[in-house]
Amino acid sequence: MPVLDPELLAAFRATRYEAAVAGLRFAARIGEPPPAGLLALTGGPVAFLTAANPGGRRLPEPANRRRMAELEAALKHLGLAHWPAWHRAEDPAWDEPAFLVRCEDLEALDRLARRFAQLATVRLAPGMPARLRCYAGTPAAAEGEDLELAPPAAGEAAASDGLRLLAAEQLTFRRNGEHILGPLSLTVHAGELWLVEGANGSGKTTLLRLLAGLLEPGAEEDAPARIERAAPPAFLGHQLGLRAELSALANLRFARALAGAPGLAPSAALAAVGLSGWEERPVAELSAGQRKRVALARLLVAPAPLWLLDEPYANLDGAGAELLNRLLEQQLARDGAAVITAHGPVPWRGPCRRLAL
Amino acid sequence: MRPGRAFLAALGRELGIAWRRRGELLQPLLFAALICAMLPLALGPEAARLRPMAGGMAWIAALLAGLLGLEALFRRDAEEGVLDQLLLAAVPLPLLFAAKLLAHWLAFGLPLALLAPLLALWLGLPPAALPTLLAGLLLGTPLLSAIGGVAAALTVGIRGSGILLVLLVAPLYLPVLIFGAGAVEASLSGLPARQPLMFLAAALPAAAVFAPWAGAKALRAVAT
Repeated sequence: MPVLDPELLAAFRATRYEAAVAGLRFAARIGEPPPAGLLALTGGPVAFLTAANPGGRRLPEPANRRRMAELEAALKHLGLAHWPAWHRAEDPAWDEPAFLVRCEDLEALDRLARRFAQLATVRLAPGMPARLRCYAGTPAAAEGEDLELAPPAAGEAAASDGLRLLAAEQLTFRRNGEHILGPLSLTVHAGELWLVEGANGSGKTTLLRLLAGLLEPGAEEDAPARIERAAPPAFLGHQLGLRAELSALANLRFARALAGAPGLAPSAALAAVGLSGWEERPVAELSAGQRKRVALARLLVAPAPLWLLDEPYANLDGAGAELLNRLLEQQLARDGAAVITAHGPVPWRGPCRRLAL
Repeated sequence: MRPGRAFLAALGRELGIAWRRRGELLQPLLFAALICAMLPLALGPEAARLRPMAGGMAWIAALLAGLLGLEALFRRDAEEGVLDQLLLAAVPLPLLFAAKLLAHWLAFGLPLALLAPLLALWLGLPPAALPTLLAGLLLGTPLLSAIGGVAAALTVGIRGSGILLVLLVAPLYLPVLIFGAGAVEASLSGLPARQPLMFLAAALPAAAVFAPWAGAKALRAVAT
């Protein structure tokens, strides 16, 4: 979890938060009352929100400009009133563009700030000093009247500092009116392995298909489900997605042609899963474990930042399980992530986060 | 991702699968031949009676035989999880659907379109009407594949969908049958056969545009 170190906190406090509303310029500082007249013009509480310099890391100008355009699009999409604003830091190198955003709904503000990986926003509301609203841990000593901690995002008991690859909120699923799953929230960051555990029939496969986008989550009236994916995930289900008539090589060639960014050559991928010499055999002639290996090779020819694997250890022998462990380690090492399901103990020995259904 | 390459890869894959299952490709052809072989037995072998029916019978045989391969169009892909991979692919789904339709026509429609005129000749169709029949079949069978493909996509998740599929496509096949058989009829009566053929020719590009789009929508709706 990222932490706002005292130095950064001091920098936030030293910054002048400026906004232009209705042709007038206003400047706010943390801990001071909101500038006179500003909240009357905006018609309610507001917050300074930027998309620049995510996680407190300085980005080049064009990258920040692109992120700001994305933020503006998001604000328009959400229908939130906003005005141009600037964060003027003591060190001019840290000056950044921002928006003054009208926000009655703090949750929406938190979601936006987290989506653009901000450590904090500055909130102005009637009858209180301007407050720094933090999305990162703060030193206990720093707590005060001018500081507030945003509640953790749903499903994010301890936010990790990796890039968010998938965020799902309030997932539910019903089949023929029968409740199958949820409500359930899950956030997957880069470098994380999630292990979804549960008995047969507990909805593991359903959850994975929801995350993949192969099922539509049911909508609860008060809390609509929401899934955000950084990129299309790779999905490996019980049905492996291989045509039995075709050779392993032909199956992988097709998978590669469908991929957004092709990875390994099919023959190299088959060698990597220990199937050299079996390339031209129809998949129908391979054993269940070998078919699983072909399906795993597909993850190499059509790489994706997020793998959704349903019972990946099933049918694999000891060497096969080792192979899968190695593939998963490589996936995590290159800042990918994986969600795997299991109904019993798995041979994965690395760190993992668990979700019990 | 290059869409052209993905289209060719999908087409090549479908044709590869069809080749591996080439025994199944013969079934519709045998079925069509069987229908035409039964006709003289049922109606009597007099040439004068069979001749006016030959063109229409060839059409009916081709149309019914074409239904045989339809149900399997997406069933195996769905059963083996390939459909999931297609839905998640970076390539637009309509493109993959179009490749599937084209492969289905090449494997089922085209052989029937070539066989049916021979069957009609066998039933006594005057050779003068042969070009009209062949042209009608070559224009009409892709339409049958397109209509059938969309219907097959709509029924992909349903167990035992065979009869439902037939009920779904039959009314949609009728215009193709009417124009196709009508063209032969016209040419037999010495009238110009151009107009019904033109109708089929006009429907073809429309189907080429709308069928992949509608089929992709159907697949996505059914799968999710």
